[in-house]
Amino acid sequence: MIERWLAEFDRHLRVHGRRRRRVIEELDAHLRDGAAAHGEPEAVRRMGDARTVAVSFTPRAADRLFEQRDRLAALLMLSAMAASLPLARTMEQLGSPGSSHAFAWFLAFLTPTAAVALVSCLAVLRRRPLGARLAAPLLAMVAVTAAVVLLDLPPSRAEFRTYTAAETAQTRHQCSAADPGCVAADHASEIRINYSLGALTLAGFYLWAVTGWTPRRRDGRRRAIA
Amino acid sequence: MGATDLRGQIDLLLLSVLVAEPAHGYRVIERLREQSEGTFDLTEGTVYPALHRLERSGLLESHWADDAPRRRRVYAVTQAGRGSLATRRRDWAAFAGAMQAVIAQ
Repeated sequence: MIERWLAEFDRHLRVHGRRRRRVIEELDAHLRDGAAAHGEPEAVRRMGDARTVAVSFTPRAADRLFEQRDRLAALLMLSAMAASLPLARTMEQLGSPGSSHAFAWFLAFLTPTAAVALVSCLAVLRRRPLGARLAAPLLAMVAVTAAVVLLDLPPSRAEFRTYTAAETAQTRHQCSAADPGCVAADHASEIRINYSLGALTLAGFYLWAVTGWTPRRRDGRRRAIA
Repeated sequence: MGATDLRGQIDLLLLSVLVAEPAHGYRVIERLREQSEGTFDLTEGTVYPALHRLERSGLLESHWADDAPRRRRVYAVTQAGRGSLATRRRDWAAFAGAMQAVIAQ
């Protein structure tokens, strides 16, 4: 009876590779434990209809996507960081020589934030608890950095003055697009507003995806997702 | 009480059973039956897909244990699973309290 049940189960199971072998081995062991305790007919009856059990092993695409939301968020965060690298290079070029503002800006805000984000994302991808633990500090760091940029506080203030100067130079002299100053001028408003708000939104989404944290509801309780 | 009646609560039950001690699927079902004094008599095939789903979600982890006479997959609650269980317990207590307040009238 067990063999017949397993053959029926195998026919309807829509899971492949190593996971398929694991599922079948688990259920086989379970049925034999049940048969040893209660006899084969009772073990098979308790297990339920083979086809129904097999179908319930096949997760819907939407469910799979939701279950993997933490890893997807980590990949999104890493992609956004990679996409920002050309901008970081431009800032670094603008900061040298003659000005240490960009370097100070990197050192004080962007580098630690990027490092925390990188460590958190890699931990999430490996399903280590550290990844979720770093998500809230990461949001806080991004919020502080965004506030400094949006409120035009030092050291970003000096940095954006450099951009303004470059923008003026571009307007007056039609300078080359290969010039980092011109590139920075083109991106000044994006850095200040789009990048700040975009980074905040992304860090908030990341926190939600990896921890299930959401703001408090009116009754003071948080909603659980996991 | 079968799987249909427990829909939505099976994850809470499995996490609660496994947080006490890691166990394989057969033992999990036995404990559910024992601790509920026979009330939760699940169709056993429904438990394994739930265990696999919880593992994919990072709330459980598992490994093979070579217990004689056959090897079995042993499940344990992860750190994330403990956090999720605490939240689910609070939500359940609030839900049960509200239900009781209404039906006791």
